[in-house]
Amino acid sequence: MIELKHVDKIYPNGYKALSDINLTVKDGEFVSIIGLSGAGKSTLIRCINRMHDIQAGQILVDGVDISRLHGKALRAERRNIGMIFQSFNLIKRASVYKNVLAGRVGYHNTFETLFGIYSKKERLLALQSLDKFGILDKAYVRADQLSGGQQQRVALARALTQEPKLILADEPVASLDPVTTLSVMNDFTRINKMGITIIANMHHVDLAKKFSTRIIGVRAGQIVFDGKPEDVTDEVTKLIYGRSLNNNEKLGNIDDTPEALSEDIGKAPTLEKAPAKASNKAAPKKALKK
Amino acid sequence: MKQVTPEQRIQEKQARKAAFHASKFYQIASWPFVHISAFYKKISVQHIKVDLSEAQDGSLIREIPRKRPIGLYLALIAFIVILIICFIPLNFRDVNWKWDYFWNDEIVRLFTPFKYRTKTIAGWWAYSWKKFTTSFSHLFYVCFLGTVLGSLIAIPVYYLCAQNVTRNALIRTPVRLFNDLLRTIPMFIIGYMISLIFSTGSTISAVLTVAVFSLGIMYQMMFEYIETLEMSPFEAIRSCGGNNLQCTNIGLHPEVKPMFFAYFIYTLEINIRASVILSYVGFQGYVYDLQNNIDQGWYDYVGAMLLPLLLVVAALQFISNTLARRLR
Amino acid sequence: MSENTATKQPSKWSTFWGKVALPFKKTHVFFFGDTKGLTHYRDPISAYQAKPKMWLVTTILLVIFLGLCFYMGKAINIQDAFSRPIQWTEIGKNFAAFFTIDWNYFWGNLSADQGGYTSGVFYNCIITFCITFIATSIAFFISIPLGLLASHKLFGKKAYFAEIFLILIRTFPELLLALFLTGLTGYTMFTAIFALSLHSVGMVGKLYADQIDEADLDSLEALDACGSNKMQRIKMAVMPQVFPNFLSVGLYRLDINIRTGTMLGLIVQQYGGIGWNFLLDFRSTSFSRLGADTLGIVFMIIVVDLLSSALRKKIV
Repeated sequence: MIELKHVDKIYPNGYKALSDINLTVKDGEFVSIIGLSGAGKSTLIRCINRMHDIQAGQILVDGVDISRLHGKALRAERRNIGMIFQSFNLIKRASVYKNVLAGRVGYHNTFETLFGIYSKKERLLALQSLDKFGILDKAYVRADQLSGGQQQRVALARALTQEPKLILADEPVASLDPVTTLSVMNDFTRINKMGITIIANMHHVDLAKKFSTRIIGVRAGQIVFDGKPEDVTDEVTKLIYGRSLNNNEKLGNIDDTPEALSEDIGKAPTLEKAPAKASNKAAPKKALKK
Repeated sequence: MKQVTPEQRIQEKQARKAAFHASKFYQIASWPFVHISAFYKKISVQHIKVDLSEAQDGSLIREIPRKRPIGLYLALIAFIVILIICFIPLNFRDVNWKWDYFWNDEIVRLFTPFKYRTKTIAGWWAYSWKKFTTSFSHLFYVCFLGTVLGSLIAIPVYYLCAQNVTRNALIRTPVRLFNDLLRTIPMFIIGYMISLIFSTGSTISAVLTVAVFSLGIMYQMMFEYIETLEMSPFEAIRSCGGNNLQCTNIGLHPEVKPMFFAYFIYTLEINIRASVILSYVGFQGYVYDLQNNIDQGWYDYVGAMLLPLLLVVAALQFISNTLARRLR
Repeated sequence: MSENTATKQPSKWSTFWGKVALPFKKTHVFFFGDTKGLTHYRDPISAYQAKPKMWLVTTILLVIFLGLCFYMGKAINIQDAFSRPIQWTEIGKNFAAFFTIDWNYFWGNLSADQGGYTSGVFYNCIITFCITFIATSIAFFISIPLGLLASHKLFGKKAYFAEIFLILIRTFPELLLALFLTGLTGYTMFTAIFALSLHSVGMVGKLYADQIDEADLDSLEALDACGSNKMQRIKMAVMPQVFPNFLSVGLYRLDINIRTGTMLGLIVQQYGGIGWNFLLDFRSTSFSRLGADTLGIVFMIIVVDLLSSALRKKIV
């Protein structure tokens, strides 16, 4: 459960990015934050992770005030929070497998990560996370040889390998084409069904309305709307964006997508349970989404 | 205690600045600068009158401002003046051109076997091979070991110098100053100082000299490369819960490794050419033999000894060039 | 040319080498991973078993490298390093004398029998700077046509002549060139300038050719269509783009030449400069004078380095 109490963030040049934010997110929700660019969406998400420091208030993640932690305790808290970036932020020259394993650095000390000493269970966990998204075939390929959607899936697998309780996503689908956008958003929904809370920045109101369970509107550093997706009417968008959206600013007809939303990929992968080896029958090959 | 908000702080700063500008000291002290800058602005623009009418009868004259590159003119004048001044302290008293001697007695004799030393062409090649395997290999091993030692020590140093990895200027600046100082000292001075500690002429001083010298070269190129890297994988590992060392090692180091090897070979080549001077500071070796041969006029030996140097340096240049071009 | 490549048949040699290289390619895939994603893993356990074992490759390479290093160390007798014990007190005295600088010698306030003003460090530093500056300026101007001649984009295959000439000049260290050219012009400062500029022409010419090869030369075709000849095309299309890069290369070369210019006096006295002072003090082991020499050299290099990097930042 994430709580933000009276959070203020002021940049060193005097610009006030967030003013008096009060927010409570329960476990298992899929929260979307919408608003204009520069309204404070990215700042809000990065403050939860302590990538930016706040000047006033408290941010409680499961009862622990993350804005007052330092050093080892901060790293221990950060490994429960996974983050997805807009430009994927993968290590380009390393293989996909190494990228996903890098999600486990919070669980080891420096010496072990220097020599790449991870336990066998963690390596299997990494491969399981890759398998959940259907890109196990690309496990040993160099990361910059994949397409955009596949790279974002690798980033999702890296976040899953951390065994997180919360995933923060900073405009995860902004640099993807429309078809890949829908596939990646479906993957987010599947992760949410595993029981992981998701707080995502969206810049498309339609995507937010379709895929999330709760929408938060931010304008000029303050929360102006907090409620269900059905309640986002034209007036609400006028409040958030300053004016209502035209037809060509919406995504169009996304109700009849070709893939079923309810295709389940099972529970979140954990360290303890070892996966069973597949039988000799040829498993149905998952359609690789380009 | 009164809370001073950042906006109030900025307003106070602006008020102080305005008060200083209105004071008498500033008005007097800035008078020449104001006039010089006004003059500079006036002469830096040249107004050209252009007749834009179709019949060219002066009915449509427009003024087009054209910038004069005053900085370039000044730089050119300064360059010519310095060049002329540089000729003054030098003396060219004993210059006499000896073309015949140079061509016949030096260049041609480099490659012709002489009857009392290298008797035949096979003897010339045999001498060349012997010198290659003994004294040139000595030079090459010293340079290689020194470069390896210097580059390995340099790895944490250049991460400490780069601005996007080490944000704390208190650590960065001393390391950078120390390395700058190291880079300005030529190799023979470092060689001399290190050979004071160990006995003069021992090989470990040569290896340490080359190591210190290559530390100075490598760090400059590497930290400039690191500052151009994207910090996105660094940030990603940070969000997974890593400390600085983990972020650098996992995020940035795979990008840096190929460039490191390219610069290693470049540094090796520079070191081979620069370690020529070491023989004058007390390390007998390849160049000492070469100078002996030149002084005694044994030009066929000289030619035989120069051939391995030429080949190895050219090969290293070629390799470092291709590597640097491939990776960029 | 594109039509030829479309209908080209693979020669028997390319398929032969392809067959020879096949086992190496298979191990390459094993060691370095599956670069095209061609294998299909049914489940995570089989993917784990198919993992490329990089630790094996790394250990083998490390063992080979360490073996090479040990062989080299043995070949140059590095174990004799500590055969003589290090005398710390003497070293301490020497370093103390090194850091107390003889200021009279530094500024040249010497009596006539010690050489007067021209033996001081300050004067010789200025001479070194003058020699280097003249040599670099000569190299800058001479290597512009040579660099143009050596660029493959402008001259195609004929660029190999100039390139081989540049390589020949470039691979000899400046000191050996200087020793050689004394046969040509005798023991004077002119030889030093000549050797330094010849070597710099080699390095700078190659860098110029690289800059031209990296520049965007589509406008050459456009100018050719207007009907200009080769010289005009180069002047209008190439020079405006690459000239700032040329200047920056020239300044970088000045920076490096200063360091080698100090060495020229070490060999022969008449080459001038501070190297000869250093050699005299080295032979007579007067440490305070050596400290003054070092200070002069370091100071000069720092000044030239700062100037050249400031100018280079302005040009780019």
